[in-house]
Amino acid sequence: MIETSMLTINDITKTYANGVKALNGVNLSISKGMFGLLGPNGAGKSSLMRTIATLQQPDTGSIVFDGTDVLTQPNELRQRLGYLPQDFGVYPRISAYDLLDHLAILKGLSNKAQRKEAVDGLLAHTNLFQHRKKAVSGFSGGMRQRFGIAQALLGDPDLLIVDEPTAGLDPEERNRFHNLLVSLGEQKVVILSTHIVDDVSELCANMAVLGNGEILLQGNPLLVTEELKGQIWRKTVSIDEAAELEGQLPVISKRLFAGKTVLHVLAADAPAGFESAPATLEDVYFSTLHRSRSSQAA
Amino acid sequence: MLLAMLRFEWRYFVRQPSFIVTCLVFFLLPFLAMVVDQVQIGSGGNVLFNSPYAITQSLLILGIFGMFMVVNFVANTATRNDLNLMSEIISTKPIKPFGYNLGRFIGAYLVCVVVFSMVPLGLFLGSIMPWLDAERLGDNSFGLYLAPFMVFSLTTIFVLASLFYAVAQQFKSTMAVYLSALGLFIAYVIAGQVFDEPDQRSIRALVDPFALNTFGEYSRYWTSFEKNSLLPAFEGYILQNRLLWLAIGSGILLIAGGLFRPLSLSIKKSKKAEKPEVIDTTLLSQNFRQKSTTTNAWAQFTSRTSFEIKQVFFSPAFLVLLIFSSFQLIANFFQISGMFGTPNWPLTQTMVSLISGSFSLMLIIVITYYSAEVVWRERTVGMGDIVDSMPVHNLTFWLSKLVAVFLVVIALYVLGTVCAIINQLVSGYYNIELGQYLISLLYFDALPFCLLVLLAFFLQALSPNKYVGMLLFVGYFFVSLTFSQIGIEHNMFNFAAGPRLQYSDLNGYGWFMQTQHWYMFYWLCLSVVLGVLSYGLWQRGPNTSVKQRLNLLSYQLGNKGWTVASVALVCFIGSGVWIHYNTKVLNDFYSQDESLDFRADYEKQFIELELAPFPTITAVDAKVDIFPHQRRIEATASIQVVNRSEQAISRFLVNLPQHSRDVQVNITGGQLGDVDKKFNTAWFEFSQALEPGEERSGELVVVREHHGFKDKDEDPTLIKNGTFIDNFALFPNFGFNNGIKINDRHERRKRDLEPLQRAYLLEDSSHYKESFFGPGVEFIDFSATISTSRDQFAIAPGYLQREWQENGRNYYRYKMDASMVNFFSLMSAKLESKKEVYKGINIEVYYHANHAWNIDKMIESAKDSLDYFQEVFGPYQHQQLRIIEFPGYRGFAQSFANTVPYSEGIGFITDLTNPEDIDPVYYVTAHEVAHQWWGHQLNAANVQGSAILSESLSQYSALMIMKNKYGETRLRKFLTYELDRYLRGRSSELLEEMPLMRSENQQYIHYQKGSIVMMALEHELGETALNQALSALLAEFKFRSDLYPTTLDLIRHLNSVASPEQQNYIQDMFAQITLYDLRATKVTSETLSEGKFKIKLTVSAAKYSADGKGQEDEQPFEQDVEIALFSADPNEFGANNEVIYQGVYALKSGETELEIIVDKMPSYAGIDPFVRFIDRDTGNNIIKL
Repeated sequence: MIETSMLTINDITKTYANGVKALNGVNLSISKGMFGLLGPNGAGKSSLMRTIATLQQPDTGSIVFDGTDVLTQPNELRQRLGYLPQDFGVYPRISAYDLLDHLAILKGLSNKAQRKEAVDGLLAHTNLFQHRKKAVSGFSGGMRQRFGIAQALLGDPDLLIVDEPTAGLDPEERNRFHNLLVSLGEQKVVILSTHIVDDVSELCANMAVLGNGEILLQGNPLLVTEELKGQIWRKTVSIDEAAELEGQLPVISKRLFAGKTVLHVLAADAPAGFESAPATLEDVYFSTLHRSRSSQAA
Repeated sequence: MLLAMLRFEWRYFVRQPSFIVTCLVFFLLPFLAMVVDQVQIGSGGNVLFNSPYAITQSLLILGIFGMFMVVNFVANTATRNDLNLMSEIISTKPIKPFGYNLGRFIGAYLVCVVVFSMVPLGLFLGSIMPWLDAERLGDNSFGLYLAPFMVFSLTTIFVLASLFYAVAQQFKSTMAVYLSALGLFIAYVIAGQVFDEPDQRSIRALVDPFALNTFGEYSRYWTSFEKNSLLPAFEGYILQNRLLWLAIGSGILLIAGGLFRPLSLSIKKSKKAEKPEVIDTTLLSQNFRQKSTTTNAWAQFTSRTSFEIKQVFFSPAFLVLLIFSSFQLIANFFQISGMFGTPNWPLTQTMVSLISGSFSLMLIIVITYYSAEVVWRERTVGMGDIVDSMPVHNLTFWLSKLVAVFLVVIALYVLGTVCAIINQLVSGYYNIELGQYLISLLYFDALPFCLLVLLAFFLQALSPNKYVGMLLFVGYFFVSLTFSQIGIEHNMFNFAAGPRLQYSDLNGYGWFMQTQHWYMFYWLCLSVVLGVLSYGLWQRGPNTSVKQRLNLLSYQLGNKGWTVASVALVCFIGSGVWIHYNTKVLNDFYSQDESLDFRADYEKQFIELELAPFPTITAVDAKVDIFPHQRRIEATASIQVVNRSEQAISRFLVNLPQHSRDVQVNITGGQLGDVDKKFNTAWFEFSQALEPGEERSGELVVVREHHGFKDKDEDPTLIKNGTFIDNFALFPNFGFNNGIKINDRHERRKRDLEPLQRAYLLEDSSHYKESFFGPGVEFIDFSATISTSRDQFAIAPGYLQREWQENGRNYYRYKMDASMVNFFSLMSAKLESKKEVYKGINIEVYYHANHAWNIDKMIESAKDSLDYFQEVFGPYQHQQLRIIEFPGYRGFAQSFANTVPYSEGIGFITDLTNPEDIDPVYYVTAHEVAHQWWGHQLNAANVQGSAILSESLSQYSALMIMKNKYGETRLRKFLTYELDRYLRGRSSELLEEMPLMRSENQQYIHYQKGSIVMMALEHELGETALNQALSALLAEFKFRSDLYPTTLDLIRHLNSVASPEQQNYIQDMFAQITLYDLRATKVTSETLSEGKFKIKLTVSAAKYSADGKGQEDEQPFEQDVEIALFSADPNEFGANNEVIYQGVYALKSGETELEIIVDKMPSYAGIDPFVRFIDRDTGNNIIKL
C-alpha cells in the first residue's frame, strides 16, 4: 500500500509555563483517511490537536500539511481546516442558524446561495434543522456537540480535526456521526482524538497512541492487533485474587463483568489458570500504556 | 453554627482575589489622596491634611464608592450556593437556618468592614509619610480616625449590607443586587441635585444613607479652626440620621433578609417537557460540502462587525449603561442654574459641556469594560478555539471589534444629545445647533475616547488575559491623572489629549479647531501604529506567548502593515515636531510649577521696587487698530505723565505686555533700555531725571499678535469676534507688578517668600494717595481713535465723535468729556444692538443675536438705577451707558467709564420666565451701573477695605433697586443666599478672615457680608439717613486724585448720621467679626375671644465675636430683633403670603418668651425673618405653628 503523507509532524515539543511537558518529540506522518489518536486523559492529545489547528505554537518542531507550513503560515492552513475542540461554549442570544451562517462567512463561504445550502445541509446532517431557530446557548450538551460537529464541517475542509467528538452523544447520534465521518474521510485527513478505543477500531485505518506527550505506538489497528495474537490471556477472579495476581503477572487490564473481575495478561505463554483470549485493539492500547508505565517506573 | 458560619465566610473571602484587590484599592485611594498635594479631600488652606474634618470627608466620600464593594461581597455570600450549584448539597444538610443565615450575613458584613478599614489605615499611613509638609499636619491620634469610622462607616456599611443581602435573598440573583445598587446610586445623585435649595438641607441631612449631607449640614459653616479641632459625634442631625438608618437597616434585614427561611433550592422555572427528538432525513444531502472559496475579507468584516455590534448592543449590560448614563445626565439638567439658583437657558454649548462633564469619567469605565469584554469575547464564552481557527485575518477581528466599541462610545454621545435636545425643547429653547453637538461631542470628545479605545485594545492584545489588560488600562489612566503633578502638563505627553474646548457663541470654535486638528492628527498617527501592532500581535488560541506572536509579526502584517505603521510613525513624529515648534518655540509654555517659580523669581528680583516711584499717566490719546481676523492689534498711545512722588525719578521698571513685539516707551528725556528676556521687563532710563510734579509727554507703542498655536493659556482678549482688552493688558505697565505675587501661602513658603501681605494696613496713610487700582492709576483725560475690520464695530469709553471708513476698515473716534480712571476697555465685535435715549442718556446694549432674552430687562434696570442713584447720590457723570457682551472665556461683568462689558456666560442667558426666581440680570446690571458712582466717581485708597467702598456700596445700591422693584420679602431670598455664601466663604478662607472694614480683597466679605451689613444698616439707620451719609462721602471725595477715601471715612460718615447705640452696632459690624445665633425654639397659640389669637413664641439669641481663624467668644447680646408672623411658609414666595405681624423686640442673651396678640391665625413665626443679622444658621429662624 503506497500512502502519500499529507500531514507531517516533526519533533514537536511543548512545555507549558507551569513546567508541564505536554508534548515531547512527537513525530507523526498522516495520510488521507481517518486517523485515530488514542491516549488517556492528560496524555497531550488536546495539546497536539491545538498545535495542528494553529492555536498553539510548539517550542520546537515543524508541522507541514500538504505543502503548507502550519506554524509559519497559519492563515493558509486555516483555509483548509475544520476543527472541533474538546469543549467549547457559544455566544449568548444567537440562534443555531445565525451562528452557523456567521461561521460559514468566516470560513469563506461568500456565495449566499451556496452558504445557505451548506448551512441547511449541515444542520440536517447533525439533526439540528428543527432547532435551527433556537439559541445555541440553550442547547443540551448533546445538541451543542452536534452543533460543534456542524461548524467543523463548514467549507468542506481538507484537514478535519475532531477532539473527543462523541462525548455526550447518545449511541444513535454517535453512529450517525461515525457514518458521516466515514463518508467524508476518504478524500481528506481526519484526525480523531479520543480515549474510547472502540471509536478508533470502528473508524480508523491508522492510529497512534499518545502517552505522556510521546507517541507510544503508531500503525494500522488491524496490524497492531494482529501482533498480539496469541499473547493475551484472561481469567475471571474475585477482587482479592485480582490484587494478588496483579503483583505477580503483567496485568494489562482488569474490567468487571457481571460483578466479577476479568484480568487480561500479556504473556508469551499462558499463566496458570488463564485461558487464551482474542486480542483486541483495547488490549493493544492497554499493553502499550502498561509498557510505557513500566519503563518509566524502571 | 453562627460562629462556624462566620468563620467560614471569613476564610472564604480572605482567600478571594477580589478581597485583596478591593483592600488595595481602598487603601491606595485615601493614601494617594493624603500624599499627593493636588488631590486633597476636605483639606486645603488652613485646614490640615489630617484634620478630623478632612478625615471624615474622606471616609464619607469613599463610603459611596464602598457601596459597590459591599454589593460584591454581600451578593456573593447570599447567592454563592445557588451559583456554584452547591445548594443541592447544602440544603440536604441538617442546618438550623437562623444561625446559618445570620452567621453568613455577619461574616460578609465583617469582611466589608475590614476592607473599608483600609481607608483610615491608608489615610493614617499617608499622613506619616516623611515628605509631607509638616506645617500642614496636625497631631495624629488614633481617635481622629476611629471616631468618624465608628460614627459613619460602621453604620453605613451595615445599612448597605442589610439592604443588598435582602435584595439578594429575595431575587437570588447577583444582577438584581447590582441593579439595586445602581438604582440607589442614581436616586442618590438625583435627589442630591433636586433637593439643593437651602431650606431642603435639613431633610437631606436626615435621609442621606451615606451621611455625607448629614455631616455637610453638621459642619456647614465650620471655620478652619473648627474643622481642625472638632470630631463628629452622635448628636443632632448625625444622631437622628444614624438612628433612622440603623432602624431601616435592621428592619429590612429582619423582614426581607430571609434569616428564618428554611434552606431550600430555589425553584427554577419549569421547562416545557422536551419532545423526543425526531430524526428528520428529508434534507440530508451532500450539498453541505460547499468548498470554501478564497476568503472574502470584506464579507467577513461586515458580517463580523454586525455580529459584534449585535453582541454589544443587545446585551443587558448595554441597556443598563444607557439608562444609567441618561439618568446621570438628566440629573445634571436640574443643575443648570446660574446665579442665585435662577436657571440659565439651556444653550447648546451648556448642554454640550454638561454631556462632556457627566460622561468623561464614566467613559473610562465603559472603555475599560467593553475593550476587555469585546476583545476577549470568544475566550470568555468558549468559542475561542473555533473562531480562532477560522481562516480570518487578525485585522478583521481587530477592526470589527474596534468598530463595535467605537459605536458604544458614539452611542453614548448620541444618547446624550437626544436627552439634551429633549431638555432644550421642554425648557422652551428652540435654537438647537445640531452642528455644534456633532462637532463638539464627536470631534472634540468622542474622538479622543475612541483613540483611548485603541490604546485599550493594544494593552489587551499584549495581555495574557482580560483582567491584566483592564488593570493595565486603568493603571495607565490613574498614572495619566498624576502627569500634571509630576510636571508633565503638555498635552503632547498625555495620550489622546489636546487643549480643552471652550465654546463661545460669539467666537465659535475660535482657535480650538486648529489645535484640535493638529493634536488629533498627532495622536491618531500614534494610534495607527498601536493599532497595527495590536492586530499584528492578536492572540489566536488559548495561550500563545507574546514572544511567539512577535515571531509571526511580519507574517501577520505583511508589507502593507509595515508600510502603514511606518508612514503613521513618520507622521506622528512630524506632527509632534510641528506641535512642539508651535507651542514651545513660537509660543511660551510654562508648567504650573514653572509659572509659580517665574512669579516667585519676579517677586524676589523686583520686590524692592514695590514702593519705588514711577511716572503717573494723566492723559491718554490712543490710536488702536484692531485686526480681529488676523488676531493683531497695532496700538499707539500718546500720554502725559507726571511725577506725583516727592523725589526725582531717574529710572523706572517697565513690564512689557504679553504676546507683543516692537514695544516702545518714549518719554521726553529718556529711553527704554534692553529687554530682560526672562521677566519681559526693561528699565526706562531718564537722561534728565523727572522732578517731583514735573509733567512730560510721551508715547507707548505696541503690536500684539499671535503666531502658531498654544497648548494652553491662549489669549482670550484678542480674538476673531469679541475682542475685549483693557489698557493694563495691552500697553506696557510701569513699576513693580503687584498682581504677579503668589497668593497661596504654602506655595510661597516652598519658594522662600515672606508670607503675603494682601493689602496695606488700613491706617497706613502713605497709601492714601494711591487708588485701589494700584499706584500710578488715577483720573485721566481720555480720547481714542480705534479701527477694526469692515464687519465689526469697535468701542472704547467716551463719546463717539466721528465714524468713518478708510481702506475698507471702520474707524471710530471717541472722546471722554468727564474725568475717568485710567482703566479702559477696547472692544471689537460683530453684534446686534438696542439703543434707547432715557432722560438725555443714551442706553445701549450690544448683544449676540441668539442671546436677546434679557435685553429689555437690562435697559429697565439701567433706567431704574440711573433714576435712583442720580436722586440719592448725585448726577451721572456721562451721557451714555453701554452694555457689551463679550465671549464666555471670561465670566464676569466689569464696569469701565460709561461702558460695561458683560460676559456671555452671565445675565444674557438667564431664564427669567419663573417670576419666583431671583432676577440676577436686573441685579447685576444695577450693580455695574452703581460702579459708575462707587469706583468711577469715588475711588478708594490702596489699603485694606478698599473693595468695601466700591463693591459693598455697589451691592447696597443694587439691592435698593431690587428692593424697590421686588419688595422686601423677595429680597429675603437673595439675602439668604448672600448670608449662606458668606458663611461658606469664611469656612474656606485660606489665610485669615478680616473684619469688614479691613477686607483684603476677600470676595465673600466685600460682596456677601457687605450686602447683609449694608441692608441691615439701611434698616437700622433708615434709607434716608444712610443715603445722606453715602452722598456726603461721595461729595467729599468725588473725582479726587490727591487723597482717596478709606473705610474709616465711610464709618465717619455713617457715624455722623447714627445714634451712639447705632454707632456701637456699626463698630460691631465693621471693625469686628460678629456672628449671631438667633432661633425660634417653641411656639404655641391660643384662641382668645373676639376672634383674636394669642401666640406664645420662645426665641433665643446669642452673639459671638470670632477671630480670623474662626475661634469664637460669646458676647452679651442686647439688641432689637424683628419678629414676624406669616400666613404661609416664607421660604415659598407665593403672592398670597401675608405678613400678619411684624414687630421689634429688645432681646438679651438666652431665651425669651414673647406674647403676641393678632387678629388672624398665622401658620409660621420667625425671628429676624428678613436676614438683618449675620446668623450662623438661618434654618432655625422660622418655626411652624
